[in-house]
Amino acid sequence: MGVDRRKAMQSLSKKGFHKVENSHHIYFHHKFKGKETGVYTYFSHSKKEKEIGSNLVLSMRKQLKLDKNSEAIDLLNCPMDGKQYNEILINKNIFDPADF
Amino acid sequence: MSPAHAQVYQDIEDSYNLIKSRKLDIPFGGYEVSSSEESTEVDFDPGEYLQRIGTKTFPKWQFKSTGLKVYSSKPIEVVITRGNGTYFAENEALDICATGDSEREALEDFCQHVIYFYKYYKQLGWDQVMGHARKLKESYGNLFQEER
Repeated sequence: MGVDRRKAMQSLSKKGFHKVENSHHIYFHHKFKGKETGVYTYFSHSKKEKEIGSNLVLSMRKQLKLDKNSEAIDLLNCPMDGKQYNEILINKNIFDPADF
Repeated sequence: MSPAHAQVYQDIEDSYNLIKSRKLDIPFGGYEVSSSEESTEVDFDPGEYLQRIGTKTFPKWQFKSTGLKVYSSKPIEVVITRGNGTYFAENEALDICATGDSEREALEDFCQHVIYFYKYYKQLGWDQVMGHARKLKESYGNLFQEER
């Protein structure tokens, strides 16, 4: 199952990711309470592909620190909200909410 | 290519695609899921299995981008895999998974990511990072230096 590229970018922006564009890619970096957590994903500038194919979902899943493709699709599509995603990252020790 | 070779090639492709599709349903074991030392997590990592059939590693010492050269203080292992026509170039410690339509493109993409993350973490202060980002900032800061 593919994911709509534009929708995925909009979705990430609403779930704690901030967008950084350079000449090669469009990066989305995750922040928690204003601090970088190190979690990111990226999109190419190419608009040829309107959908993110299953291969790229696999690499995005790894970047987003998720165990299943279905979780990545939920995050990129919408069902998983920012709070649920933060809980997953905290449970995986990607960051500690007490680290301030 | 003879018909016999074409058939062998097709069989290998079919097997590879079957493994690839099954891999999508297996949770990836890149992060600690158990504190037990007897965990079999690594044994069942589908990435490891795929690496045996389609992976090369390259030591990379120098990464170039427009206007900037970055050197690593030790070789960087870049793992190359292929799936459904897409090539992946990865390094787990640097948390980079680059892609391309060929091995060369994936490696070029990898270099661009190294430069980007080197610059990105360099401009971030220690008070702006936490958890995994702190480790990445340390890694990029310790491993790489710019050409003077």
